[in-house]
Amino acid sequence: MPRMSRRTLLRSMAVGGAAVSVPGLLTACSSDSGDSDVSNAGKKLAPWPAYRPAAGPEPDLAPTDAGVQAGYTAYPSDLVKSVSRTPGDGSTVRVMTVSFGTPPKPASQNRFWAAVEKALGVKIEYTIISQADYQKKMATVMAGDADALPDIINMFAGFTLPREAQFVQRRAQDLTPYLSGDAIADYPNLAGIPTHAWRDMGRIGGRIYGIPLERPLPGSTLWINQDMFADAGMKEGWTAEDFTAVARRGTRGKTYMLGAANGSLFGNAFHSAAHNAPQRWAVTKDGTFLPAWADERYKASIAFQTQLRKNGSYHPDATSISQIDLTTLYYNGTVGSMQDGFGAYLPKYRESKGKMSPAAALPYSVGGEPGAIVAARRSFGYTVLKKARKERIELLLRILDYLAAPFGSQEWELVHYGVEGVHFTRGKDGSPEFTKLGEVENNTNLPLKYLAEGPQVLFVPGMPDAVRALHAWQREVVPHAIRDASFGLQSATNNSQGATLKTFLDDTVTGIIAGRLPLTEWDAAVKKWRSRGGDRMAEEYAKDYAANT
Amino acid sequence: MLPGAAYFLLFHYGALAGNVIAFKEYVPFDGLWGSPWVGLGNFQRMFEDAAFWDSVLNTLWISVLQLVFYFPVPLGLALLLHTLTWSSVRRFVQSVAYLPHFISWVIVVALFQQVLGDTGLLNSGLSGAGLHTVDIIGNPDAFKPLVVAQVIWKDAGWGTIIFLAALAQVDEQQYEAAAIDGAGPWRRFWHVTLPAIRPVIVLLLIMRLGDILSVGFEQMLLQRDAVGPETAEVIDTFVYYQGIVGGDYGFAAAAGLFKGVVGALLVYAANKVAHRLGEQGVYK
Repeated sequence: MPRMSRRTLLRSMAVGGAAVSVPGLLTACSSDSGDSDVSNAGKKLAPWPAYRPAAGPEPDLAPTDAGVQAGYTAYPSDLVKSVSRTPGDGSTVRVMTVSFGTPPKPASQNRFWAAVEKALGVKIEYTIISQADYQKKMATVMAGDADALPDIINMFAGFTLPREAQFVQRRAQDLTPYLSGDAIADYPNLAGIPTHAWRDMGRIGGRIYGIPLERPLPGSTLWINQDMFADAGMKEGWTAEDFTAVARRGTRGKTYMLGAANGSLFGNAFHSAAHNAPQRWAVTKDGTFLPAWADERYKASIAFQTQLRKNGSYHPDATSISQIDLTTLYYNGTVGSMQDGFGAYLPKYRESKGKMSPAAALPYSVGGEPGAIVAARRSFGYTVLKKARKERIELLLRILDYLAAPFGSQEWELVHYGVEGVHFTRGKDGSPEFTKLGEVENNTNLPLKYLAEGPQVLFVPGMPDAVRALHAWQREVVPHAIRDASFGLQSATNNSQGATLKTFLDDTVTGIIAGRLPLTEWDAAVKKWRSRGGDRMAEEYAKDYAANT
Repeated sequence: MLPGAAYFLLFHYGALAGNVIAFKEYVPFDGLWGSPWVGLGNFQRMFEDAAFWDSVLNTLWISVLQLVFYFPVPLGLALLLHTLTWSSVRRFVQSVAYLPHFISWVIVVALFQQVLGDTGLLNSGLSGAGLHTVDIIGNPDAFKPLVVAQVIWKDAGWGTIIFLAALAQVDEQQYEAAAIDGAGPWRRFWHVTLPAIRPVIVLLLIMRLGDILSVGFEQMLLQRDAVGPETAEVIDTFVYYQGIVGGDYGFAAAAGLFKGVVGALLVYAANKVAHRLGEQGVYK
């Protein structure tokens, strides 16, 4: 170790101290990052891809313009063919997506993988990242060499990735010439993705960089155990007071009516929407952006949850348990409810068959005002392509076009259920039913659905009543959905600091509901959030909003 | 020798150059040279950030608690083991004491949760007996003693190795001579054992001071949400949240560099003190 004299040490400390006390000196040589390029303000906006719905079977339960999904109580008997030729050329395609399943068997032993490769005409090298590791893995992928990127990358929307838009703009292929306007006609299944999904994915610097994964309008949902809640006195048109009473009444011994997972803010999305609070951002008629966190209704939802926690209705491990473990507690009746995305209805019904009765909760009213639900971003994430020559990009888009086949097509069936007789058989009503092999070789473990997917419909194989119940629930709640006004918009500050600021607010909400911090702490936290970048975000979103409308 | 030197050059000394990003607004896909310089801007932000100072304070608190309550435990355990004359029993006890060191923090934290959690073994027993339950895992006031207890349970046995090695070097004839002179067990411990292992104790203490701002990462990260960042955020988790989660790599690097510099200064100062007291210290 080099020797340091006392004089040198003191001199160093003095210089350090002086520097700290003179902010101007410290920042004298700082420079602007210039990441405002991602904004759409002042840019020529690429037209959205022209929407051409794919032909398919008529639904039994009609969709609505407001956003209620089409419902199918039975599986279509005549499947259409939506792709005319094999998209691939025998080359190898490297893909990367998030996953909520267990790792798949290797390609050489996986008949589902082999069948999809054959249909696509390519070899697929798959990097699968579990949801728990996604943020860390993406941090290294984004920092890595551009040449080492996979050909197709799923940008999962479940996290706030730092500098995501900047990364996409610098590293991914600009798809505007291939997809914008009528150019998308070369990829008919991609053209069947509704415009709301493209809009919520958003443009970056006025250009289109990705392909959205369309999702239904309801977002974070409180999934309840219908029987437990009914037994505890749940009734139509319940109020916040009724909800509290039901939660309290049903909680006894080692059974808790409210379950929550680490990071879910005790299911705050459901409660804040029931309180009619904005979801992240609201926009006024004159285009001003208002943060949800400064809204009194949002603060009221935190206070409401604090009471629920205080009276013991929440499972005690709500701040440390994982979503996977919470799901187990939900299925085995330890907790009577859990928050999850609406899209999780399929595994909820499938896994709980015969054990319990899942249902999406209706929001309660607060102070006489009917409660609302959370409107999801209509794009669950999006897929970007590594920069490449034109022929390669067209090949990759043909592959994604195949994977985006609509419900009721042969391609959809292959990608979702595998090969008939191998991975699934037909039930009495013609619905696919997984075989034993299909339980381990499927698109949960090999999540091709996160590369591209056709518009989602309501369908639960062999459970028409579940489809009817979900459709009826959507008809009731969809008109009262609260949308985050910033969906599809760009803010340079959110791009660079959004993740840190979100962690700060999330920690505060969790601390208050858990009883570690007083509610009075909330106003100070919001003030700090505003000064550290929140107010800048509001201005940037307003500019981008004006440019997009 | 060569692989060892290569390892240190590549992963320790070479990696020091990466600290340059503490003076940049580092954008990973722009690279080290493409990212703009910000001078000491990251340090200014860091020193003005109350959350950073909270993490420093938490780190120091936990470190002091570990120094006071954890540091003597392996020493005491080693002295106890040293007094055991039946070597097979000693080996067995040593092996059992070493084992927890090889269990990952994820398992250790889960074990503590299963035992001390709200729905854990202890509270199940208490509520079964009609008594009030106690909140240990989610109680911010209990957090610091809890993490020290976890460290003691996990690593006290492992920490005895170096003391046992030092004790093995003590010349048996000194004990015999002292016994002949009439020294009892306490006198022999005080005048033979302790002076013999004092250089090792001082050496370990100095090295521990160098690590005073490192109190564990996984252990804190896994329990942070249960008690909140106000209590459980330490410098290492602060760096993780700012860097990996928040993508503010320059800022995180500045915090990491601060930690390294403070650690180096402490080692330097402690070594000086050791020399003044006539000890060898870590280096001359």
